[in-house]
Order: sequence, then structure tokens, then C-alpha cells
Amino acid sequence: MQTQEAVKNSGLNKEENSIRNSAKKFLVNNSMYILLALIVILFQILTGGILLLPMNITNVILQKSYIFILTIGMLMLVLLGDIDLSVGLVLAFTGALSAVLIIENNMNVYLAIFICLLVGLLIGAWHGFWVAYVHVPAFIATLAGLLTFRGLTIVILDGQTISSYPRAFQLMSSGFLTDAFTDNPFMLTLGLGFIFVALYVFMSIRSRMKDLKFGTNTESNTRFILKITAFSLAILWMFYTFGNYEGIPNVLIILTKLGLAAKFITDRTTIGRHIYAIGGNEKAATLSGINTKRVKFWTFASMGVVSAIAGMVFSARLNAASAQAGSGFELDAIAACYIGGASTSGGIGTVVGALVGALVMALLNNGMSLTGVGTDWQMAIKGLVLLFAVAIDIYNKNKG
Amino acid sequence: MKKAFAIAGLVSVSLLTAACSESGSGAENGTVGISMPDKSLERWEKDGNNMVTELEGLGYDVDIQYAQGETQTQSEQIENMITKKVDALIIAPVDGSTLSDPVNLAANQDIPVIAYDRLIMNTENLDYYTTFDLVTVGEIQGQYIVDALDLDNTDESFNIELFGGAPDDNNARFFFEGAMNVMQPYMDEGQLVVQSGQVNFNAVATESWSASNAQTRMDNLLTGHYSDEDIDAVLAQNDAIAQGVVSSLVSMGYGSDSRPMPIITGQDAEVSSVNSIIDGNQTMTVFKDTTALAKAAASIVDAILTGEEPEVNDTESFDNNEKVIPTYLLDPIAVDVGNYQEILIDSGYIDSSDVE
Repeated sequence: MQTQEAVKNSGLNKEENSIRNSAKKFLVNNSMYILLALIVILFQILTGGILLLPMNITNVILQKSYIFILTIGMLMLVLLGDIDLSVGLVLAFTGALSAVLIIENNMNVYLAIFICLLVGLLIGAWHGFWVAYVHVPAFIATLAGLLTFRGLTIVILDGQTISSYPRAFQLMSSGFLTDAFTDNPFMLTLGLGFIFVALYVFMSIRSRMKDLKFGTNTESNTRFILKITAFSLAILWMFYTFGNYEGIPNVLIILTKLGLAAKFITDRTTIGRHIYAIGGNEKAATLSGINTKRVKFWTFASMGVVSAIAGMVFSARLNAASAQAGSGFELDAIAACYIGGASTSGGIGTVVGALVGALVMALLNNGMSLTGVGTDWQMAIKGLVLLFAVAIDIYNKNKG
Repeated sequence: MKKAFAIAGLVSVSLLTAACSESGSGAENGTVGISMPDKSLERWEKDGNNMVTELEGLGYDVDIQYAQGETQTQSEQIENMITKKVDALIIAPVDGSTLSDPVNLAANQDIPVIAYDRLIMNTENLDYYTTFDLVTVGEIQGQYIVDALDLDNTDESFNIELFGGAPDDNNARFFFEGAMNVMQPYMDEGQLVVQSGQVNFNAVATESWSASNAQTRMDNLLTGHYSDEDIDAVLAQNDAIAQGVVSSLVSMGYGSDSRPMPIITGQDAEVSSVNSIIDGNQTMTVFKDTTALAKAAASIVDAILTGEEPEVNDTESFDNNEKVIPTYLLDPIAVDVGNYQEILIDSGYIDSSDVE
């Protein structure tokens, strides 16, 4: 009897331990989602329900769209173990270029967008060349870029602010997908939401079948279903919310496309695996036959393109290009990656995590601004959140 | 989990601290949102506080936010105020050409918008504007020099040098234009002589309104053009420049009975310049009463929200490329040793203990 109980107990203990372990693992892996949820709840209460109003949710996306976009590009570099300090000023430069081309020289909007993207690519390639082939540390090469492009931005703008883009360009960041079709965006937006969810569920189930077939899956059935339900509800809620305001912002579509592309590259492609490998251990990666130089070069080049996209979105939003734009944006993007669970030494991190990190920063900003906390305190609090988020993350990982 | 708790705790503690430092007042008549450019400049903080006092006195709740001098931060703050459904917005733009979108958003929600001190460009949805008449600032300076030298009652000629403001500050051009409006006729007649020949704005501009740049330029002018002649007047377009000019003149031996200080203008009524005026170094300064500007903005808001017609005194000068904005212009005041007591000290703008 006693022995039986003992056996039972030890079994229970084991079970409890494994539950505790998996709970701990869950917390460590998902700490940014928990942080996000807590911030949402906190500010929803403090703002008396304003935070989750459709208008405010739309505002948050529009307000920080350029940071979200930069974060996607920055994560790739963080995975490599590098950072790019010049993104804010490359953003300012390409934004200024778009203003000079479109406003001052009346160039066709689409041609100008193409030229700006091309210039972004060249700037990124420039940085990539020095980092990958000359082995200038990324910190230095991009710090030089920061100074260079701050100067060049003032040169091409002549120190002035150039304003008033044509409507077609402004729509990039102030327009809504549904503008063109209907005055009542609600049904259309919700409909798109259902289509999106259906696609998401279909893709998830298909990839799970595949994983099961090859036996690479580690997720239990319940967890899979829970996850899919949670994400589907979240997506539906987003669409419902946008539908209740003006519809889906155009910039969210740009952002989603970029995010999905980056997620696909990091999760599903050889280049993605190479990036993780280089970030994990560059020497080992080189020895195993990965062309580290080429991967680095192209990652920096794509950061340039991403910065150019962000630059045009930013200028379209302000409806002006000013010489003082962009300073400090790189730090927001870098902070977002780390809050989103990326490792400072490279090799660890996900696109979704980084975007959640950016959302945490954006909601902190928005929530504090709504509750009337001054920008002085906002900066101080954001600084502390970054520090504690990363410190506790490191502590948890070392312990676990 | 620990992490999340720690952060939530941290944030709520900070928020509570921040919330406690703000006075809780009930919104009787509604809430007015005020967006200011930068808290690290004394001027804006003073303006902001003045407006808060005025509006709270009229029974409004006030939501005031400062934008760190960043255009995008200001847009965000304005949008957040709109989301919170403030009843009216007063905006002092960081950069007037970047705010058309938030102002249009406010119009969609039927929130009236007043531009404060700087005009908001390229939107038809700006309702009112209140500011100081910039050209008048220069005209007052020029007129003061003309009157002090009594040019209308004499045929004598006097030497003058000109010091404009920062070349990248658009307002500086208006100040200079105003001064030249008054003085140009006397220059044409030879009653005012600029020995250096530097009379274009670009030639006389003072980089970043800096006292030390003004001092250097004055040193060079005195050495180059005034070894045989005395200088009778200096148009300095703000107090910092005037202070640089004074330092230079003193080091060159001006300020004695045989070589008195020339007429020196200024602008802003800074404490150090008021002291300089009392000591007989600087002659005058132009005072822009920001308390009055705050009062003007507050009364426009009050008029709109109580359904009355706001008082304006200029309906043709300020075109923001979309429409002419009805404007309430305030006149700056000339302050010299004769009236500083009444205008600056009795009004409480400067504490009497600061000027002894």
C-alpha cells in the first residue's frame, strides 16, 4: 500500500515536474506575448477603454508603420549578429529623394517609387560591401552611413522641408484598401478577414500534415488547435476593428506582405537557414560551405530596400520630407528585435517575435500618450522596459 | 511571467507617479488639447503653462503634450488627442508644413484647430491662427533707431551696422524686412550710412542667433571700418546678438563719456538684456508678451466652444496655400529704460529681484 502510494507519488511528481517544465518553457518562449497582453490590459484600463477603440488601433498601425517596417529588415541583420545604425537616415534620405523627384520635379509617382527603391538597394549594397567583403564592423560601416546620409539629406533638401505630395503618393500611408470600392467598409473588411483566416487555417493544417508525415512535429494536438483558434480570433478581431473605422489601412497591407515575405525567407528557405547558421557560429557556417560573404551582402542590401520603403511610407504620412527626419528610428527598430526575443549575439529570433516587440513599444508609446504621460517620462519608461525585458529574458534562458 | 509582472509593475508605478504630478480637475466645459513643440526650450514651457492657466481659469480641462522637437511625435500626439475626443486643439507646430494630415483628421471629427505662433501649412481645415506680427518687430526696431537719432529733424548723417537673425530661420527674414521697411528711405538719403556696405540679409545674418558669432563680426567691423569714425547705432535683431555686440563695443572702448554706446536694439526681453538696458549698454528690446498670446489662443477656443464668433484682426495676410486663415495678431512692444519697470516688472514677467 505504502509502496504503491510512493510509486504513485513519484509518478505524480514527475508529471508535475514535466508540467512545470513545459509551463516554464512556454513562458520563456512566449514572454513577449504575455508582455503585450499585460500592456494591452493595463492601458485599456488606464485609458478608460480608448486603447482598443477601432480608431486608436488604426492610429497605432499608421503612427508606427515605419518602425514596424524597419524592424522586419533589422531582424534579419540581428539574426546575423549585426545591426544597422544608418536605417533612420537612409529612411530620411530616400524620403527626401522621393520629395525632390515627385514634388519638385513632378516625376510620375510610380517611377519615383521605383527609383527610390533602387537607391535604397544601392545604399544597402554599399554597406553590405564594406561589411561583408572588407570586414569593416557593421557598427562602424553603418555609423559612417548614418553621418553620410544625414549630410546628404540636408544637401538634397537644401535644409528645407518640402511638402504636399500628390494624393496618389499620400495614399500609401493614409489611404485605406476599401476606399476605392465602397463607402461602408465594414462588410468588405470582415469578409476579407474570413478569407484570410480560412487561408491561414488551411496553410497551418497543410504544413502540420506534412510535418506529421515526416515525423518532425513536436506540438501536441490540443496545443495546435488552441494556437490556431487564438490566432484566428485575433485576426478576425483585427479585421472587425478596422471595419468599424475606415477599413484596412494600405500601409498594413505593405507591412503584412513584407512580414510574410520575411517569415517565409527565415523559416522556409536555404538563405534563411544560412542566416541563422551564420548568426549562431560564423566560422562553423563558413567551414560547412555557406557563402557567408554573399549572405551578409544581400542581407544588408535588402535592409536598404526596406529602409527605402519605410522612408516613403514615413514621408507620405507626414506629407512632407524634412531634413530632421529619421534620427533615433534605428534604435526603436533594434530595441523591438530584442524585446521580441532576438539574441544580441545573433542566431536566435523570429520575425513575428520582433513585430510583437515593435507592437509592445508602439502600444507603450500610444498608451502613455493617451494617459497624458509626457514625452520625457515616456522615454525614461521605454528605456527601463527595454533593459528589464532583455535582462529577464537572458536570466530566464540561462536558468532554463 | 516574472518578467511580465516586473514590467507591468514598473510601468504602473511610473504612470502613477506621472499621474499624481498632474492636477486633477473636472472637465466642466470640455477638454482642450494643446500640442507644443519642445519641452527643453524654456519659451515653449512658459507658453504652455500660460495657456493651461488661462484655459483652466475658463473652466476647461487641458491635455498638454510636448513633442521633443520631432515632427512625427507631434503628429502622433495630436492623433491621440483626437482619439480621446478633445473638444478643441491648439497646436504650436514643430514644423508647420508637416501637420496637414492630423489637422484634416481633427476636422473629420469636427474638432476645431488653432495654430499657435507658427502657421500650419497646406490644409483647408485650420480654423484660426494667433501670432505676433513679425514684420512689426523689425519695424519697431527700425523706428526706435530713427526716433532716437531724431532723423526727421536733422540733416546730419549717422553710422549704423546691421545684424540679422539666423539664415535658416524663416522668421529672421521677416524681422529684417520690417526693419529695412523703416530705415531704407533714410539710407537712400544718406542719413544712415552703413560703412561696411553690408546691407543684404545674407551678408548680415547671424548663424544660429549666437552672441559669440555676433561679437566676432562686430569686432571685425570695428577694426575694419570704424578706426576713424564712431558708430552711432546697431540694429541687433534679438537680445543674444545685442549682447555679443555690446561685449565687442565695450572691449573696443565704447561706453565712456567721450565715446558713448551707440543705439542698440534687441528682441525678447531676456533678463540679462534688461539688466544691460538698465546699465545703459543696450538701448532697447522688443517684448513679445507670450502671456497675451496664450490669452488670445485661450479666448479663441472659448469663443468657438461657446458658439460665439472669435475675435480676429487680420483676415488677409496669412495664406497657408489652401486658404487665408483668420488671425489674431498681437503687437510687440518696445521696451527701454523709461518703461521697463511698468511693462516687464509690474506685470510680473520678470521678477524684480532679477534686475538689480
